Amino acid sequence: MKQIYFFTAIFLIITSCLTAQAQIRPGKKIEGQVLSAGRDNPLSGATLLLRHEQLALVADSHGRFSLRLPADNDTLIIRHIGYKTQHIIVNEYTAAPLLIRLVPVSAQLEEVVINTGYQQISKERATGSFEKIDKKLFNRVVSPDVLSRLEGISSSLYFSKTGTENELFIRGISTLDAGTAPLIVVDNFPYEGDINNINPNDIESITILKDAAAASIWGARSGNGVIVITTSQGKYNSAPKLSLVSNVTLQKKPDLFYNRNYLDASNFIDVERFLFSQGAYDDDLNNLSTFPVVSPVVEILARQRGGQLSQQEADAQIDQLRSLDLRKEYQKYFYRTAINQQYAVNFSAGSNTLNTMLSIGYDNDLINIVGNSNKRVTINSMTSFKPLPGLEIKAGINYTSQQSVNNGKENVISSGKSTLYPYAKLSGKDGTPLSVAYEYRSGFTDTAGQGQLLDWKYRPLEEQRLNDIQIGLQDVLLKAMISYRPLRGLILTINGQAEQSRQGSRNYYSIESYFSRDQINRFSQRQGSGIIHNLPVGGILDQSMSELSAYALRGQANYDGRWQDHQLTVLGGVEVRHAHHNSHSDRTYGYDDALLTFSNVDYITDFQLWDQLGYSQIIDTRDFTDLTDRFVSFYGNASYRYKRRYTATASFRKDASNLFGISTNQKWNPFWSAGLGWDLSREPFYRVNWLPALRFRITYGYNGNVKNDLAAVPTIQYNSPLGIKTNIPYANINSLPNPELRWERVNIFNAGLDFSLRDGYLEGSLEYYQKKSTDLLSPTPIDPTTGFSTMTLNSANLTGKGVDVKLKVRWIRGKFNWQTQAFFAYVRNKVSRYLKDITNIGGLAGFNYNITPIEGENPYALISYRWAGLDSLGNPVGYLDGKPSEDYRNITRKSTLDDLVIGGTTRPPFYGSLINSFSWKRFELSANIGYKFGFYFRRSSINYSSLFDSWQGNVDYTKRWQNTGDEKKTNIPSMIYPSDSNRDRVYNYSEATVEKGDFIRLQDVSISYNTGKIGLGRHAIKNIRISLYATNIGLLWRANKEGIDPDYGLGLPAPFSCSLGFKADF
Amino acid sequence: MHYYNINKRLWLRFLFVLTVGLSTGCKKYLDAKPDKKLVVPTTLSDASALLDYYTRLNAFYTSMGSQSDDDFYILDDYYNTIEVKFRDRYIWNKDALSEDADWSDLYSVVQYANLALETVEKNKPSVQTLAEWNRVKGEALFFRAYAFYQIAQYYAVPYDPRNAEKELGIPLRLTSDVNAQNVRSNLEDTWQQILKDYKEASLLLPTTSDPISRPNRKAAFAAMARTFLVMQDYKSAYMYADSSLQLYHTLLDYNQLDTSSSAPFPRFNEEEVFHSEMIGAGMLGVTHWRVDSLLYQSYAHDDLRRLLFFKGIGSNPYGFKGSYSGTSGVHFNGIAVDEVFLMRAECAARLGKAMEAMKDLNMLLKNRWKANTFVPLTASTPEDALEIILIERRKELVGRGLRWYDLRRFNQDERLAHTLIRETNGKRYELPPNDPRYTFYIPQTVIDFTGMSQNAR
Repeated sequence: MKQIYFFTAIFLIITSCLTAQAQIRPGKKIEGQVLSAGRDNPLSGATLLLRHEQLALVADSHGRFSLRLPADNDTLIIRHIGYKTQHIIVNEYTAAPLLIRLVPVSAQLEEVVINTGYQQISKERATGSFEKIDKKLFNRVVSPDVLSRLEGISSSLYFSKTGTENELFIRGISTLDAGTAPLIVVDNFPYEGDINNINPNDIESITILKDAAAASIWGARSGNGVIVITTSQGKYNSAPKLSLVSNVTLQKKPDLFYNRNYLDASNFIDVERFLFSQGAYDDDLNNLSTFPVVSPVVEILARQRGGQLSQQEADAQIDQLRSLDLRKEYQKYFYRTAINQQYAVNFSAGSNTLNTMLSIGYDNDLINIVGNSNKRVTINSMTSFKPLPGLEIKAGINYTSQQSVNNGKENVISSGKSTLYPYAKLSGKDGTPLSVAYEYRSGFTDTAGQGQLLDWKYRPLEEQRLNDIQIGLQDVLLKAMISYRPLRGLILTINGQAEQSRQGSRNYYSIESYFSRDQINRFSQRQGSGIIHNLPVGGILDQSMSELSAYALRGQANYDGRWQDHQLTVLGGVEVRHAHHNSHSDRTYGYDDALLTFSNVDYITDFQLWDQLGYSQIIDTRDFTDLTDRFVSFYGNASYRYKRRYTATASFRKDASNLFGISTNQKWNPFWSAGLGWDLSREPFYRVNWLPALRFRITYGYNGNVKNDLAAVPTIQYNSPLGIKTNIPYANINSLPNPELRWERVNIFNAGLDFSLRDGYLEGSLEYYQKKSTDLLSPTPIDPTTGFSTMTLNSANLTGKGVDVKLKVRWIRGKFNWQTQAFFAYVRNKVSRYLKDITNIGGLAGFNYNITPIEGENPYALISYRWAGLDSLGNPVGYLDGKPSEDYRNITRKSTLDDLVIGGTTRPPFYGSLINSFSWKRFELSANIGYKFGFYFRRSSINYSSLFDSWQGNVDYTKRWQNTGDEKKTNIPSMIYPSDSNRDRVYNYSEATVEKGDFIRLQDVSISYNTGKIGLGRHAIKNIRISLYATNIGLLWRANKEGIDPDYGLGLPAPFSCSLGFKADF
Repeated sequence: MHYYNINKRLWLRFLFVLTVGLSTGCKKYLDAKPDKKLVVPTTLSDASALLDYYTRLNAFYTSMGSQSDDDFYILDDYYNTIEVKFRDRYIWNKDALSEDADWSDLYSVVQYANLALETVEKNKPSVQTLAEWNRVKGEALFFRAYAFYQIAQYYAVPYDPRNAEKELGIPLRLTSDVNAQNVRSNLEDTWQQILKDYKEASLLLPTTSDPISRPNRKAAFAAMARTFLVMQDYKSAYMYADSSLQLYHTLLDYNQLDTSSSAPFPRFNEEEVFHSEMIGAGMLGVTHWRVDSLLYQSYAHDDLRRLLFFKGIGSNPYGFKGSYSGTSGVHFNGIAVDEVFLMRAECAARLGKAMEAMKDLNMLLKNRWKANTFVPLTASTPEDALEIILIERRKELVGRGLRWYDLRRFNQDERLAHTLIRETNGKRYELPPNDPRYTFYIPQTVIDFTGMSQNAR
């Protein structure tokens, strides 16, 4: 019953505080003293302020003061330089003497509350490796999405931009195939939708869970670490708050001249002349069946040879082309300066029993590819309500709507050749789109059908105008939580989420588009003097629709008990999650977008294509998918603390999912962790004045990874007979049976040290970890006699060790502030065991395997053919059986490990960033410098087979061996005809193309100005922040001399961008 | 106090219901299929669906033999633009390395067949399902033998009855277990296994099939005849060719076809007994593959095959458009009635029945010549008959992938053996009879994995 009285009292106090006018009434006078926490030394000169009464006091030299208590609640604010400001509620019942213990700023390891997705705990009570992202650093960056804002502001996240999509790793790799992406948790549940749906302006906090103790609570999906994102909510007892955000970002066009895989028109033409003289095009020129495409220069040369052009005319025509540059055309017509606009409004307010938050965001991105844009609207709302003491109900909704238009073209040619010839001209003098040689000989498309067919020319600029590719997405996420406190310290919670998402895409090829014209022409046949169309003359419409419906439900009990020096926190719960994806796609022929009519086609018959282009069925793209993921988990977590100095933690989780082809008992996967923490600086004997805070922690445990396309028994997948004459549905083997399948596990040992120097001059944390990943699953080469070349097998054990360091130095404090935040990571991975046979060693150079299959080596080592330079004819020399060799065929297949060089890793072992921030009055300036050291990459170089066959050039061509003696100056082989793909391979995957990757980059710079309070009273604006932010500024230093930015692999570096930001808080 | 107790009980009850409810519902909840299209193969229809994977089981056979045979040549201009592995095959380079894919594509047919067989065996046939059970099992056995036959023709030395037990054959995979050891059997066992599978299939399969890409009894008999031909057991080969023809002997009348078409033969046509195709390769395409000029000249003026099989490119050289695959770039390598007639004729001649042999041959040729122009051929002796039949065999079965097998077979007969010659970029390449290069290398990856012995050079 006491309980009820207590709550009622608090309730009454709070409500009266909010509603009643503060009345000044002389109350009881009490004595008090201000002490420094920990050692209880009196603090002199502390100032005390009673907020409502606006009464100020100063403590005496012994920290003593006396105060007349107010009748109603009032806030007493106690300030002292070097100590954290404290707010306490006082009223007439406040007991004397009033002892106030101020915590020195320096001695206080930043009081951080972390959210694991299952509980909110103060960081000092945790033993695991949690990294809370600095909100200020997060908001310093301007971007439409959440994840890209995390780059360079944490010690453990590594961003790889070499692939098509940015990849994110926490502490290097711990798995090979199950996806290296960390688990992303949004508002307590794994996020099933697209993370780009989340508006970064709605983020309240982000915590990264790195070790076993931190992450194992997330069980089978925690092996790659976990990123826990919490979106903002309202607060009880808070005045209405309104903030407005506006960011406008401009981004330059990409620099196409950076691209190494380009050969200038003049050199390209010389290559074509050389090849023509060798007869390399004769086969294509004589092919009157399929009319393969040849370039304009080859056409001119063929006409000259045929006597239709004189030598002079041909030379003149060709020389005219030499000055053209396709990159200029692309840059002019296909790229533009990107403009991204971001607006957000956030409103929150709270009384003592009800709080609410509403935010609306709007993003409009005009991407730097002409014709591509993205629009996003996000609406988030969350309301919390306490109807009864101990009972809290929360409900919220996130709504996202996205519209993307992808009409732009990055690569014009994909058919037959990998790129367009460098002297292609896309636009005439008056701006009319010009046609380029594409797929077929120009002579063929000029005259085919004698006017009875549709125009068969390809004009890149016109296609850009005609494209109609759109994707629309709608996502609704409902959240609800009920928590009840039946008795002190115990909280029961039921937490649930439901998500519905729908994505539709449309790709309409109008009758004017090349795609439709080409398809219709191909499926036309001569009949008598006319022609028949086997494909209706009209547009083609591709559509797809996918839906996600997901729910998650969690029941959890938390207990928090304290008695004397003991503190125990226990939680346990059950969780069920379900996600269902289904989609379908189809194609409609003869579609008229104006009238919504279409025509039927015959998908079965093998039609003869136009003239002699071959035979084909009409392409059918219908497809259905239906996928379901289900998880059931039981989990528990306990932490015990004694005297606030010694902490022990343990966690346990058991997961099961609806894995297919696995018996039920194999579906369950247990994970656990344990940890210890020791706050040395709180020991009575600790007397190190300059290092007032020092804490150690150590953890050990297991994380896991789920891979749900594996089975112990064979599984088959049914398919529809698209393009197959039998017209019977069939099945293919989806996974080979693997009765020896074992789940991969990641075992992590973590030791951490948190410290702070006196006055907070320097604070930071240092962590050392060891990871052991066992039975890693990856597609592994198997004996081809099984009918398959690879199979996902438990193939390797990896070990990793590393160090994460996070430091914050406050160099100067006062009117002018200078602080440095440094993040540093060191990761070293090793293949401790390779569980399968190593075969095809010659193929190791150039990554035949997912990882280096050699024990003791780095899993991402760059393996190369040993390089013996060029011979006197410019031929590359490798090694075979330990001797220099030009037997390229056998070097690529029969090399032994001695003929190869196992080089350095492609993943930087050292990386990090350094953020310097300066503030003066209301101005702030900060710059982030990122670096990656100790890694290697392979630069692209000339591949003559690709140059001859698919027009793919490379800048290295100009540095190739040309005359005797050049072999002393260059490693780039001579051009030979016919080309030899093995010779190209031996060179391109040799040591000669390996470059050191190290670099230092100025990642971004931010300048801002805060106005502070403007105006008075209720209508005052609390603050306006105006900021200027620039990113992708460039490299400060790089190890390679080729001008390559190794961060972007073979791709183009992200262009410079600059944002103007505005944020007003009311 | 009272208040506490109620609450304690309430929340204990809540937890109890939650736990019990979840753990009982759990198993069912977790049995939901992650992908509706996925199935653990258990039923007859699952096994049948595996064998209906047309693209892999009917249209994915390597054409490496066809790239090395003597029916065609390619021009230097083209030779210089193709990949090294194709150049190597074309000029019989002794260092040519075998591709993993050619080997694993053939063995993948074996894997599908084995998995289908194991799935069939999980089902007990009932009165209602017996016919289906027999069909699916028969199909699986047929496909396995069909793949083993081709593997043996590429990767094992030509069969010679005198020393087949001493020579190495191919790995005979009879299980879908990926962990099973792969070792080379002896050559006799290899061919006996092929016979055994075909024989069992012929007892189980229905006489005909629809579509023709599914195996059937007439195909099993014909395939046995093919096998006995390799094993030089002409009596048995005769018997099985005859059995097949007893069941089906429809020939296309070439007069009914359009000689101007660029692909005159429709896929799944009436003459087919079993449909399969080889993977296309650039040099087999109509514009690159040029018929051997002597072979081309051997077609008489009124022989419709001259117009239906070949297409002029430029002035003289002729490309191949005579595939029973409905398209010119993909070569049919299945079984058709014409081949079965030729097998029966060859065996009859070898068994001394010249008259009967010529009767079969003339029956075939009558359908190949322009109407009312064909004068039946005659042979005075079985030897003459054999000579004529083998010449006609080459002319009829050009582009079917059979020439390479025939060369291996004929090499053992001094009367038929000859040296193959290619001239490319001014260089002359020769492949003498019984050269070790008639047997391809086993891919290095397979050797690395299994340690099995490599073929000789």
